[in-house]
Amino acid sequence: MRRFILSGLLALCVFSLFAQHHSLSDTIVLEEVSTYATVKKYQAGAKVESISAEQLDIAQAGSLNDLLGRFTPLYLKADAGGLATIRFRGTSADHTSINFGGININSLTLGSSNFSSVPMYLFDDVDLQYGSSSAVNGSGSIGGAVYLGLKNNWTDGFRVQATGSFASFGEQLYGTKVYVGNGKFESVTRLYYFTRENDFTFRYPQDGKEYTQRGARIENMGLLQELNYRFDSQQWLKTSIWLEDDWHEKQPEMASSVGDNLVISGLDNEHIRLWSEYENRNHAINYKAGVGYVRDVQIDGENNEQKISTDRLVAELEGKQDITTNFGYKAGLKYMYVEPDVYSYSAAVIDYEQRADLYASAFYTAWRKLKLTLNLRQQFVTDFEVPFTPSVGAEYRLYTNALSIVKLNGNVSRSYRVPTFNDRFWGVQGNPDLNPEKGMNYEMGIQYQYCSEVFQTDLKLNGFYMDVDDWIEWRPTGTNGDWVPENRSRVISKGIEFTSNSDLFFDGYDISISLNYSYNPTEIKEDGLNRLVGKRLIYTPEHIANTFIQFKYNNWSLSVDGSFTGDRQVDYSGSIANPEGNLLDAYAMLNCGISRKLIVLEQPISLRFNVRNVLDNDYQNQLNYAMPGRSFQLSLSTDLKFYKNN
Amino acid sequence: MKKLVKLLPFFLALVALVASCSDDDDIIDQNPDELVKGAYILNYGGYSNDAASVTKYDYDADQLTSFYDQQQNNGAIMVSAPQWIYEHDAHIYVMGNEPDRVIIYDPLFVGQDTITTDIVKPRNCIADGDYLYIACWGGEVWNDNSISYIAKYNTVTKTVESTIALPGGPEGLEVANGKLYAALNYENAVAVIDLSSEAVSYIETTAVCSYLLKDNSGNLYVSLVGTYSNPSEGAGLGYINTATDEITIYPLTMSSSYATIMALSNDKAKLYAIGASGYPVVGGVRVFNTQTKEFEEEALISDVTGIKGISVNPENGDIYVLIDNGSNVNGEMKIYSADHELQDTKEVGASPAMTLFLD
Repeated sequence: MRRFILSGLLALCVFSLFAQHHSLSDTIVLEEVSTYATVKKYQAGAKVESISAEQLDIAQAGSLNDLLGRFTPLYLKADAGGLATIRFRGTSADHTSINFGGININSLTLGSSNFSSVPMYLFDDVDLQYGSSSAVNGSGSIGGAVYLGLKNNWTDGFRVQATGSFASFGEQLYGTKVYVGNGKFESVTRLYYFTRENDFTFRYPQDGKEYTQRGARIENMGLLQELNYRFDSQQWLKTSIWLEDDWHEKQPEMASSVGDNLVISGLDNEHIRLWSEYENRNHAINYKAGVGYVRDVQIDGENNEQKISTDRLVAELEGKQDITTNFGYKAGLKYMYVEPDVYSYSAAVIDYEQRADLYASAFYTAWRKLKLTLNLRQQFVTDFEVPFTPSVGAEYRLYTNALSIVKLNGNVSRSYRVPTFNDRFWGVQGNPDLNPEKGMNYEMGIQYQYCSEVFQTDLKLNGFYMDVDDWIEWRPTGTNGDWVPENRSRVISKGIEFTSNSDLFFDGYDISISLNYSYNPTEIKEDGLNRLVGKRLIYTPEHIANTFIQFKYNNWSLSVDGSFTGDRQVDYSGSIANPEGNLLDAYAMLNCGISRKLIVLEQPISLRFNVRNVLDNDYQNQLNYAMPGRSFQLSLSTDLKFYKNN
Repeated sequence: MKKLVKLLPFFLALVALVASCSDDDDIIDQNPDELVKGAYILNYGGYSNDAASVTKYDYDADQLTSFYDQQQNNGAIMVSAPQWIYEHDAHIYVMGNEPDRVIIYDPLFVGQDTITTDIVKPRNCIADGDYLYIACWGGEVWNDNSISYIAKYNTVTKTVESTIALPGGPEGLEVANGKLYAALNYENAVAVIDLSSEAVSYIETTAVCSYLLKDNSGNLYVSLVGTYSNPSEGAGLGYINTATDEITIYPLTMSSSYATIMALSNDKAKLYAIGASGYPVVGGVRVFNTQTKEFEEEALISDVTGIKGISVNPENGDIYVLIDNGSNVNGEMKIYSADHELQDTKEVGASPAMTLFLD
């Protein structure tokens, strides 16, 4: 009993201090205050991480690409802010789902999202699930999942937050968040406008001269409106509408940017994303029902005749019951209706598509030491056969004392990806008979947590092995369209990840240190082209590491973060210097910042000054695309509370 | 006589000196045939990568040199997603995209110059007299097909003298009967430009066009293709009588690849065309009898994916078929004899687009 109480205290201690990082995985945390809570309850053994509040604050003027690129061991293939796609655990851009409420915001035509167009200013939480999560998220969650979260404040009164941020190369962000409520009804309005000229100077390797980047301007704006109503403490209705208009010039390669005949063209993306969810926990069986609508429109070069657009309706119903504290289950049904409007799709081939998901999950805790979870999911797609996706997970508390816990965990899951609309219906090249990509993910890890009055730490070491078959690639056929999608490859991605978050408190100082490292070799195991067998995937670095250190004292905060991205293979054809394939050099980045909180007219004001790429490193994330050197950012934020919050 | 004999060595020496100072021996051949002769495969690579290159194939010695252009230029990578290669008057012209430019090499592929002024998305070129006519898309022609043009480059003054507006995205070019013919890739037409007046007229086609070939009589074959932005039921091979500018269509599902998707045999009796039908769009090479104007029933090649270009060796009639495996992985070159027997398969660079024969 004593051990149990100590464990409970430890759990409470660590949770309270690390809530921004992650909840204790043996503690079932149901954060009613978070609209889009993590899915850890039914995902024992899965690696789920949250970005800390401090890191979110530092990157609030940037995009999801800026945030993940700095603070996580994830690789994003990116240019200087216009386009960024993720390579989660060596998988491709369309193997990661990005979840906002009950919606996966990935484009249904491309299958992926532009991480440079997800503004951090609009969100309160970002959670990452590493590895396959198709059993809980459906198609496309082979490499991992990103969850964009909004905190529920149930504001009682009126609160205004405003931020202005100014940085080198013409970067400006203006944002405001307005909270109005009476404790039961709440309206939260979040608005932002971001622009960057991106007229930085870069050195062109061919002649060693310096040039000014052209054709890389960015202008994004968005509105996220929440309307929430709480019937009682166990019953509420929440609605979020996210409107986004993103425009950027398609950054030219350096060679084009330095030329005298550069043609600059823009790409415009407009999105409407709505998710409304009613949840009732007043009964033995809790239930929730959600409906959503998503409209994605892309216009290339202001040519409305070449519009790429989809409309989708989403509905979900879910019931769950905790029969005892040790055993619970949930089951649900999700439905989606999609209507594409793409200039290159023939209406005879695709008019609309319906998708339905049946899913069930359960958890069981034995001897207070072992937690087991099971997830089952079957999706049905119009004229398409989708594999059944189960996953099982386990967590075992190996050792516990008054200050520390050691846990072992493991997870086995099956995953899949339904080919995108483009894969199946684009022009004459799309192939409706493609197979879905299918993956198996095996994961094991050990976690150590320590919590004392002056020091807390959370260390994780995970190993994973992912086997993805029927990997779809577009390759040339040379006839009637040149490139077609094919189920070409079987790919193995494996690796080891180390994650640590520590806090040290003494004499009023608070020092936070996090360190992440990922070793992720990939291998093409089978391919229609024999010469690719045994090769690593392009744009998948084997080594990624980053660290974040923050000192806090009184109202001052000083932070330093650094990252290392290993070399990446960019082709298999090579050059005279690298006949086996060209490599893009590894690079390191260092950023730092200082912030100060002030009280002016009894209202809090926060000042922050950041230096990005402190060492002014000349590097390329994507081959032949220039990246900015050292830059400076100054931001000013206020948080005006006219009534005290609950 | 003795004097003459005594002077003989002097005269001989003088003759030798004069002979050694003759023009022939004074000019050292910068591009000796034994170094130049061969097949040069232009590997397109792709946008946003460094995979573009030239592979040299010395067919006499059966010797392949990868990255030949880099070897000849101190390892410098072409960078430029080369679209088309053309030889004229001891200069090699390569149409590069990303960045947009025409790269000029000497016959040993040592870089000489680049043309960038008034060159936006160059696609193809043809010479006539001192002028090189360069088909340019002018930008995102798929969004606005009015922006394309022909750049008129003076090979003597080395400047683009003027541009001729030509909407519709000109691709393949040929000169015949004093007229410049341009296959339009975003219009169902072949443009005809009178080279003296620069007046433009059009020959209507049943699909968009990509490539032109001239036969011995000065008439033209044009490939009519269906693309995803311009799907068409009217694909095939067109034959243009350049005297009347009338076109005859021979239906065939043609490849919509760019560059060399057609080639004439050395005796011009056969035309090889890359084409296929149905799904999956597996490639093949069809043979068109230029005398009977019919496609032969038996294809030269069937069921090979990735066929991108075809050329005929002007010396021995061998047929070179280029196989594209992707923009970042090496492609293949299949060599068939003139009587259609597969002779050899060579590994070439990424996304091989066309072959240029030099001698």
